[in-house]
Amino acid sequence: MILTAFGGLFLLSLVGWRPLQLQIYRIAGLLSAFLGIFLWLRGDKMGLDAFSGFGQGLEILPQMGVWLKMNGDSLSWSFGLLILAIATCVFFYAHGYTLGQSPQRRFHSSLILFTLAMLGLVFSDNIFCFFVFWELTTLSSYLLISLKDKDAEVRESSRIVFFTTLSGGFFLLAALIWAQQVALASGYNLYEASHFSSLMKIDWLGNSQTPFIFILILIAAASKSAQFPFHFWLPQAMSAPTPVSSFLHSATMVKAGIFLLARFYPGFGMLDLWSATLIPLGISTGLISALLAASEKDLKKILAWTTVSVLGTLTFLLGLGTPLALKAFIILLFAHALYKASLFQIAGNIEKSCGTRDLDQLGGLYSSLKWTGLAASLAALSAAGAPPFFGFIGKELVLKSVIERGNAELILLLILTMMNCLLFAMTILVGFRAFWGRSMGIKGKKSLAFSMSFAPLVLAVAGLAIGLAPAFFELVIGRPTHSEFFGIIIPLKLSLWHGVESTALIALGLSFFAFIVGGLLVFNFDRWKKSYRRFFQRIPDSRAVLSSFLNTLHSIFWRLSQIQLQRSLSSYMLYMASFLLIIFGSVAIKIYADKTFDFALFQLSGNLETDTFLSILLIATCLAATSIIFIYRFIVAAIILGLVGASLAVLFAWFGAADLAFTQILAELLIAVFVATFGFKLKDLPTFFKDGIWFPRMLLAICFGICLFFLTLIGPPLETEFIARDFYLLNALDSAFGRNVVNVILVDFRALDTLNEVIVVLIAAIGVTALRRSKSKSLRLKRGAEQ
Amino acid sequence: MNPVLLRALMPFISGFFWMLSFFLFLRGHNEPGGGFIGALCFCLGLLAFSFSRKQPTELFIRARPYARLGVLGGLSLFLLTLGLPLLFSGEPLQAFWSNLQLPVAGKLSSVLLFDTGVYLIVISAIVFIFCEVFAGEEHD
Repeated sequence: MILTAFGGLFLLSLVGWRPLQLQIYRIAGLLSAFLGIFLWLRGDKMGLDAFSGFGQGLEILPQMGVWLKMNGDSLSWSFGLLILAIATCVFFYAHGYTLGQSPQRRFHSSLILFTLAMLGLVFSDNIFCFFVFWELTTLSSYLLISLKDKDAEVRESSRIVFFTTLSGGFFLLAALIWAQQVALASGYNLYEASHFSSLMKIDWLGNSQTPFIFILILIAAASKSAQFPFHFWLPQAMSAPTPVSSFLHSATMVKAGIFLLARFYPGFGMLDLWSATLIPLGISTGLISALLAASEKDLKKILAWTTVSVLGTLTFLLGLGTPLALKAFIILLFAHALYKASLFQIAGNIEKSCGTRDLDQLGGLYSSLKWTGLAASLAALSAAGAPPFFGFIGKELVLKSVIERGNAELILLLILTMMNCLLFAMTILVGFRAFWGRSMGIKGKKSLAFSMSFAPLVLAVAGLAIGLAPAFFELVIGRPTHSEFFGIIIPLKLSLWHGVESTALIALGLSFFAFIVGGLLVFNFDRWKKSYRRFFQRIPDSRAVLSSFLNTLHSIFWRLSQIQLQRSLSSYMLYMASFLLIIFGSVAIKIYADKTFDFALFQLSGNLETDTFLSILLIATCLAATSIIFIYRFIVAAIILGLVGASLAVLFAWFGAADLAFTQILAELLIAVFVATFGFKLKDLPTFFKDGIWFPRMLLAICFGICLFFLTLIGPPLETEFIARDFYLLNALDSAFGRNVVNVILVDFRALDTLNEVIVVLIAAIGVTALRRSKSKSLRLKRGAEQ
Repeated sequence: MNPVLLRALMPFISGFFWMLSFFLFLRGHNEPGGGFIGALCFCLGLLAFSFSRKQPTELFIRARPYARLGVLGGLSLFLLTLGLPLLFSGEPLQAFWSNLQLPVAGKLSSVLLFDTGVYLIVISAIVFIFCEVFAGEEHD
């Protein structure tokens, strides 16, 4: 139902009616709020099984295991609630953000499409549905990032983002199909093998193929969730408008990879490889991006790097896999979504109002941006993990889940604390210094729309409220019925103060240590930032590597296409004919060698009248067809071609194919009238023999013709037992109520083929249009080639 | 040369072609004819009609928005015949028959709708092609 609602909204957003376009975000915001409440209530009352949707699901391609089946386990449920909650705020924010601009339909519809895809992703139980929604999020995010496609830098970065996330999707598909095959091999039926809920019950630990599947999934998840070495794409995506960054690149889309890992946790979580890869992966991503965050000065890039760092932590927590770590995972997920979406919106407000996102130039903005400043302080405190905010609870849990593992994990603890220091420093710089620090001369000039300051404030206050009253969170999310995450029950009981307990005290101590070091970093920021940034500029990042790789790839394929595309129809025909000749020729030779060819097909019918008529007709047609080569006047050639067509029509009529003859005659007539009216304007044809390579061309054409001739003779219909003709003749009148069998075949028995043919006709029309129009554009194309 | 008589006659000829086209299209299920043949016949009529104008090209240019509508209509008919059976748990493109008897076409059915889609799209595609070719002549 939720998906249908958003699908309808997506269609609505494509409508170009201006008043609708102006209000679309309000509609979307209200819709997501409504759906969020609906989802919450529904999950409460009937339990989650009732929510699962259509029972067995809607069949789409059941023979390949594609069902549209939705799943409502607590993981989906809480992700869905999170997405809808953030979506509500983001849509209202976007309404204010785009106020006063002329509505951009592409922006609206892509944002709504993304919401649809993301909700579909978290709720789909079928693996192929999951894949489709996964790719849909990639696609819509690409459309959103490349909104300002006039800017070359934006084009470049959106290309990098698209390439990275798309290649991940490829690995995902491979992994899903592999997993499906393994499930089939171990005795599950196709329906069970293609749904997560049953797929995860397989004994994955005992299977030798599991590690390979896991690696594929890991690559997919890492590319989507910006894990090392794919961590570079998220800052690149910051060229998108703020509502997009706040929605896609902090709260939802980047979590899709993490979500994928969480989906596979029940089956794969006990592997040795699981924690052996995820822990180092997560922790290294976290550390690297925390270090990189401090080297940036663009507000949105800083936020992007801190997001990557939190994503790393989330991966790391999944890797730990203990109940406490999973609890920390869920809490951190929510806390992060709340404060990071808010912080991104604040960055957008600052840019909108002051015209810059440079951290060094910002300070003392509180006097001009009061509400935003308030929201920023709250969100930044939550992000920094200061008590009594929601972020604090999350960070405490993360630390506790590491400490719980004992002394062996000291190095992890060290890295986490280091990360916390850096993140504390950066978020405080963004959220506090920009508003409360010394003024740098830049002030907010433009006043902001109400919803722009209100939306981040709501999110930030929610963070504070949950921190102060954790029971609120339990009320909304942590119900006992919904606490069965990952196949284990995880009670989501939260509290700020854990009592006097050794793990809690150590965690608290580490937090305070991070605050102190972070605070020192903030106060001395102006002293260390220059040398720090210079240091990081020297390190070549993987973005540059990928960028040059893509450029090389592009130039190689450009050169290849230059060889291949010569912009002349006859050379295309040449390619096609020679390619088909190789295939058909080899088939024909094989059949000839196997002696399956029956030369008895070549005898005359014995009826004198038929034989004479047909041979005269055929010889005349051949002569006419051959003579076309020697004629260079367009109109004469057209008439002779018409003759060939007419004799074909006669041939059809002779054998009683009235419909075919009819069509042929009409088509010839149409062409004849057309040519007669306008043909004399067209240029004469080039003479065939003037061309230097006429002989090989002719040889090719003749060989091609002969090959086709033989292949038609020995085509499949003669080899099969089932004679289609008899079936159609028998059934046309009885089951399809038509006396004209040809038409019955066209519109009833083989209607799908007809559909395809008609689409081919349409494509031909489009092709003609393109051919005519490209002439005026060829100049522009040449210019594009030189770039 | 200005063949007045021919130009005056052309609308009648084309009218005849259009009627013939519709007739052929309708009877397609039982006698030779059908959507494709009907569409070709219709375009012949259209060509004939264009001769009655001073500027034959202009007619096609003006017909283009209608052709666009035709494509839309045809595709939506396809979608209808493709998707509607799914809602009643049938196969895609499965034929449905009503008991309503039409003059030439026989019973009203989803097959007829499908053929209408073919008819519309083929006409529109040919109009597009004519349009481009003629418009190209103008520009060159």
